[in-house]
Amino acid sequence: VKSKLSFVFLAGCLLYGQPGLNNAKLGQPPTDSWPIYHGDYSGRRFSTLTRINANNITSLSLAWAYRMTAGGSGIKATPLMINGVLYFTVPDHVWAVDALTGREIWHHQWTNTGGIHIGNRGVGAYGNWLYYETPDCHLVSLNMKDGSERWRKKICDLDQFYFGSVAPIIIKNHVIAGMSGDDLDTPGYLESHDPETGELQWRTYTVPMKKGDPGSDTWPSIEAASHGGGMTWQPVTYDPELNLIYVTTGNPQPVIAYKNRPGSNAYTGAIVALNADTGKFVWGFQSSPHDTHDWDSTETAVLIDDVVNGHPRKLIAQAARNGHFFVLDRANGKAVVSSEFVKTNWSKGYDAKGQPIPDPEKMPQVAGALVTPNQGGAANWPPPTFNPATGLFYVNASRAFSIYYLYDLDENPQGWGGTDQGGYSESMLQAIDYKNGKIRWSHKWEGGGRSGLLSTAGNLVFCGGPNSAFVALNATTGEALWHARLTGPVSNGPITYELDGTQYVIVASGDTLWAFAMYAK
Amino acid sequence: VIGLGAGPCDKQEVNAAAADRGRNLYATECVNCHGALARGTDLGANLVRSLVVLHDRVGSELGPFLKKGHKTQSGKSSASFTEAQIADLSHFLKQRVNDALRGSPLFQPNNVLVGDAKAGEAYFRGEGKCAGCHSPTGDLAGIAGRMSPIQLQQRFVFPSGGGRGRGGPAAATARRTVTATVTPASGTAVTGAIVMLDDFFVTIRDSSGELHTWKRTPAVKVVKNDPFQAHIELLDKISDKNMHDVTAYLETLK
Repeated sequence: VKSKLSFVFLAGCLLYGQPGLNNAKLGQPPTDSWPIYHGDYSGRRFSTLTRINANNITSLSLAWAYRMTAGGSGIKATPLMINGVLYFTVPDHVWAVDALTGREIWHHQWTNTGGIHIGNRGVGAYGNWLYYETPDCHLVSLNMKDGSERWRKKICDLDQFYFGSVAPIIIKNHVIAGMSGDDLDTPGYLESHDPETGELQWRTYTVPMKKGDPGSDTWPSIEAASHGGGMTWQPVTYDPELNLIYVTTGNPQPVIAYKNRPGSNAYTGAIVALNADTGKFVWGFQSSPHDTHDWDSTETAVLIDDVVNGHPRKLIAQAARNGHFFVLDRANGKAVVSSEFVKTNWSKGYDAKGQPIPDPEKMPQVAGALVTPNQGGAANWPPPTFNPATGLFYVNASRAFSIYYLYDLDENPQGWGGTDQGGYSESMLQAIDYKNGKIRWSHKWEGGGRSGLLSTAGNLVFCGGPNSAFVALNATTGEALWHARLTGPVSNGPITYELDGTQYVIVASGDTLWAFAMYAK
Repeated sequence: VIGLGAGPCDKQEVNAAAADRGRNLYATECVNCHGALARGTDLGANLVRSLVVLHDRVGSELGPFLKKGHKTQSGKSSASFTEAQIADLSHFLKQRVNDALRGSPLFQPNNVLVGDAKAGEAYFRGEGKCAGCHSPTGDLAGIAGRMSPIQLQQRFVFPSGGGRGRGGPAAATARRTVTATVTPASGTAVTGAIVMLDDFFVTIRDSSGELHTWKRTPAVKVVKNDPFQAHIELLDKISDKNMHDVTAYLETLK
């Protein structure tokens, strides 16, 4: 395997970007950079910038558009912006683009040996280096300056149908890499690598691999557990004070047919807290115990800092694919709020831990079970946002129905063993009060509206709407304030930053990255 | 299909004839311990999940494993298997791995006709209010002759198809034209098929084919009419038993 590089150097163009990342910015609110997948470790995707705000948003202008020069799938990555340069990916490709002008600086291409090319979430950055995952199971480090390869490490096994898609997150001297794949019955895990050498520091499985591992009592056997899925599809969030990584885990395996895995199947469909330095399990909370609908719980777990009776309280919130919203104490995983953010029909209340209790009648049936949400879920991988100024958690949601059929009737089903078919769906952006889980406002989309979100101190929520619109809503009321019609639906989570006194908003639709700027004074 | 498209570029493509030969060897030497689908029994390991099998390429891993000697049904040493036999066995086992994937020949629905047709008819004429729009001797006459049972089920629950179900729509979908009547601040109301509707604009095509677009303001009234609204409302009301019963009833309309 060789990687090919192509360079386009901008003669005479003074770039911000040649010095590397000041790693201290990884733990700070993003203003003059967007140095990590969610902007910072919290997962909030909130910007304190206010040059673009609800009062002047109608003056927002298109600054530039960059159409990618290679790669077969759309841009699902969240770009990073470091020292005036944007870095983003699609499977097998990484680009550096001038954040002021949209001109390509370099393009790195990986020669792949297989793997699913469904999407890539982006790069991680540390000092002078970038990190990304390839569909054929490699973690690769590049030189930020020119895209040249520094090292590569194999992180998974293609023959077991794993693949790489996750944006690495760098925490202290750890490159945290998640794994993707749910075709065969394999265990999910998270890895930490040395940012300088790429050497493996630790690997933690999300399901029990031996008797006595956390969650062992929720599986019928270690054979079932150690093939039980729980992939780590999404970039993690992190609390530096607690030194805890929050990894969200995927569905159990087999996915739809469940006869050989009675029990809650911990820690699939869960938020799991790990020690950042050792990977050691600290606590787990299953948003989807014993899932049978392909509802991974890999939706972003967002850190919220609350104050109760004058005392700070560390919380973590998730709008899960199964339609339920959870707020937990992030020190110990105890539930504070469990509620629905769209109406569902598959559960029978909550257990003592605040976890939903699956209704056996709504598990897949031979003759079909009508279930809401559908397999796509009430939410999915596109990241939500939390705005501390409004106290609202925003998520682009769907209320969708489909019929789940059981195909594999064997006592020991493998792989999927069934699926859902057909469906009806409605989409809306839900603004959730994290203190009680109630919907403060709901902005219904006429058609699809599934995208990542960004909120700002300018009282704005940026999102994708129907008819390929990039939309700004009033964060307090949900009123639609502004839109731009793109060449396709928004395909990633927007970001914002300020350069030379101008605030920019960057968003992707398919093969194009769009930059909007507030030039008005 | 995602499942069958997963894995490495150099993965082994199953040779069906070789897999058939391998099936015979498997039946003679392996099935008692590893099971008919190679998913294991109390006596032998699950071979679909075996790393030896998953890493194998036409015997590259399986061959050295078997050459070490492995218990067989006949008592014959597995070390005596020829390279051709091992290759055949490899194709058979890879075929069993593929059984687990979406898109495989086994990835098919089973019989969905488990309902009570009489109860389904009662629901059709009563609680479901289906008979208000549909007739077994009118639009539904002979419908079971044109659709499979699962297509009937999908068609009546989701007449417009669409949605995000991974298996996709199971039935040819009905034509759904959602219309809107738009009343501008000044001027007359216009009704037509919705071409585009969002927070900012509404575009409809009237019966003459002419397009009309308005910027949406509080003064511009838009009233939607979805011909499948009754089906949409049914989604929150119908039980799975009702759904199975109606499917059984529709199956009688041949």
